[in-house]
Amino acid sequence: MLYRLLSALDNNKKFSRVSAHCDIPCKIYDPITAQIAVLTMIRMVDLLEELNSKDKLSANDHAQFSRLVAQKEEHGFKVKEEVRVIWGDYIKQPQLDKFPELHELVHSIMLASSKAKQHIDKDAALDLLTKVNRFAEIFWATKGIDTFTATCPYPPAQTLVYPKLG
Amino acid sequence: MHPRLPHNSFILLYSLPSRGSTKFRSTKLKVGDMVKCYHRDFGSIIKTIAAIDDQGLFWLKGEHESSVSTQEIGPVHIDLISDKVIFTWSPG
Repeated sequence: MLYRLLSALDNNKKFSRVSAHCDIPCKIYDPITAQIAVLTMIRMVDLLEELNSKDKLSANDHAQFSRLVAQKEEHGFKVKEEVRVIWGDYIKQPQLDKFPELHELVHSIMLASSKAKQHIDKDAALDLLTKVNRFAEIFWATKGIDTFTATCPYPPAQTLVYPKLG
Repeated sequence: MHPRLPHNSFILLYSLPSRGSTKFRSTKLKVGDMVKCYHRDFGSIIKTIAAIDDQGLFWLKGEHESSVSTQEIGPVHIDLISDKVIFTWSPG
């Protein structure tokens, strides 16, 4: 009864919220999954452009085309999901105070992921990588871990932000 | 989820006096009390006092096995503890 009364009051005049922080925090967060998903999208674009340069596509080429597009789509979803989880579960007010750009950056990653999924557009995929790398840089900074950039030693040989561990 | 504080609970807080010595403010708290504190990583959180060490620092805990550990929260200075929970109302 009293709880219902408080709920009614809360609906009219919002009480302040506080977290008990008990929602099974697995504490395993790492932006590398999102970064690798973007690399996969870039690689798919490269392979799609190779197919596009052929004069005529065989049945196998058509099948390959479908697979590449499907993979690019799937990894676009993965980028969004991985970034969303870190943003929604790990990032809290103290991290937002230190990096006020985070909300806007995450929103821009959502939009850039959609754009990279919608088109076979290398520039769009590279723009997404730049944003996700910045997100990784901020993530490691919130943990007090320095980062460095290096070219990944496999196709599509793009620059990634890595944590300096050990 | 916190067994003593299920999701969507209402809590009544007693604000610790903002003035007065650290010792005076600490006397208002004891092991087992639920408190609201500000943590540099987790923001404002509700936790239970697990221990008060000989330096007067507070060690907080959740009560569910999946809660953030006392070690991860680390020692908390009294200045970061703003309120004591004096009553809770849980749904259902």
